[in-house]
Amino acid sequence: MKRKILICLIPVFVIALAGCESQAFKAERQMWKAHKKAEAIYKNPKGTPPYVLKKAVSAYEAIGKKYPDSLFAVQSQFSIGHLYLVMGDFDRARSVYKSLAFDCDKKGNLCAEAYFAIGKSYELQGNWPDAELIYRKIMQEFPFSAKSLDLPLYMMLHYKNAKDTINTQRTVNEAVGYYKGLMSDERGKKGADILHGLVTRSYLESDQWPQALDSLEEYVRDFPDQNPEEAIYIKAVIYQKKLNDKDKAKAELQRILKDYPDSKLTPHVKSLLERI
Amino acid sequence: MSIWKRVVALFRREPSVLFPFLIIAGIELLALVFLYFSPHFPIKIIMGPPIRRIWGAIYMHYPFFYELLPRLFYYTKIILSIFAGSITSGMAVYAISLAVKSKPVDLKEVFRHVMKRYLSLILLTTILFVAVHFLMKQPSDLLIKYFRAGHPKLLFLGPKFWMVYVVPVMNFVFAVFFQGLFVFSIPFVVIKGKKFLPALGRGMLLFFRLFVRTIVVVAVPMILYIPVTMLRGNISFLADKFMPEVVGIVLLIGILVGTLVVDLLLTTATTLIFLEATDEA
Repeated sequence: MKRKILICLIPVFVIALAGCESQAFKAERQMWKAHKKAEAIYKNPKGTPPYVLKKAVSAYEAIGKKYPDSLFAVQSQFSIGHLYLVMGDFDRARSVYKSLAFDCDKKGNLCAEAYFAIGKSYELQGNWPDAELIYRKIMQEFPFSAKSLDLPLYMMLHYKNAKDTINTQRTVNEAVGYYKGLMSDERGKKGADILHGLVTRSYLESDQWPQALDSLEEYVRDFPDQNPEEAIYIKAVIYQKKLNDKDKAKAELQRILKDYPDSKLTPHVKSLLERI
Repeated sequence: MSIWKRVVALFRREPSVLFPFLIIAGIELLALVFLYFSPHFPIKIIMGPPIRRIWGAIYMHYPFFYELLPRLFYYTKIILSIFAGSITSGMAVYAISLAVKSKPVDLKEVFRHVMKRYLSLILLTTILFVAVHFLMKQPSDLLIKYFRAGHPKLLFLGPKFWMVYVVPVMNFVFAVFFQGLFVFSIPFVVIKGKKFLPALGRGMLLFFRLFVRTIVVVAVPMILYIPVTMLRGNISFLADKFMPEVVGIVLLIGILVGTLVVDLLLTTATTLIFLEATDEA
């Protein structure tokens, strides 16, 4: 009798376990199913019949309704926007992103992402001026969001790729000013090394080698605990490859070997010294 | 009478010889259920920390967990095979020998008899596992290293031919060989009462003496496992095409075919050959 009870308990145990699935796991499963429906649209947006789009959008909307206060609701809204965007329905995409942007007062990163999606929709539509306005809004309103740190460089690269030298220079100056401004802010002091790195990157991406060298030297001086030898190594590479000054390149590499003998870069430094 | 007819006749005459295989299949099934529900309460409390630490928190989420499940089950199956599978294999072999001699099969007695030789059985199962799961992979690993080193061809054939056609065949041949090499050692321990090393040595000698017959008898049931291997090889594709949960079904099929068909036929047939060859029948 006891054995029979035990045998009967096994399926009960299994069913009980299945019933303990968390809400998050259920939402993830629903999200996966919705993504699967959207996959076909991403593969062939032009050949997508309206009912397929509708099904995918409904799948995402269902997640929003079922888990309204979760991150899944936000993700599903973004996904709906992306679907309209890929279908070329920019107005609809923007209206979805705007609803996200209105509803995100406490989450800086999320707001920045929503505004960036709006800007991107203008950009894809060929309307760069409106896109730039939105990007600047992100930089002003959400200065410490991940997106706002990318945007000055993003805008500069846009002009660089368009071979617009005047606006490239303008945006480089703006980027440097923006990052330096953030560094002086109390909140920016913790990540000052990252912000300084972005200043350097602005010069590097715009091929402004003397300014980049100065910026790297400042990094070595101001951040002695943040692997400064890497900055010196970049200086050596700039001297070698961009400025064709082998002596200065060698001097920088020797400096690493002398000042940072235990650095992980040592083998690379020695190898580069042999090649110069 | 062909060996397979005798196997079927034995099952009909003495169905209790099936019981050890049902036990290990049941244990594997419970282990699979336990692992399958790892991301959920209450099993999450036990499985969550090691999964997060070893593979990363992402593997506690859908659908990534199902990528990890086959690997989790593989490790669990190694442990189960060594510690529980060795007992059930020994029980099956001993029960078959009793049934062939027309003696009553009392599973409690069979269990007690096998437990006296537990250590030898564990060692044998461990060696078999190491051979089948690690040694047999060495040639394919060497081939991968060879082609990754930049060699475009080996014996006029490119990497695709080697990896798609040669390696699976080679793996199968190695699996059959190693399975055959150790298959008579368990009967030597359980039926003849030999200690670990003599059983290992005599089992190998018997294998080489009955080489062709053993290879055929081992290979036939293992061929039945090829579709499961193919399913498992395409598990990511199936998960993506249908649903990630399909991984659980594939693993379940693996238990049903692997334990209740392949192991059952292989153990019974080779034990019958052993009994014949050692005049125990």
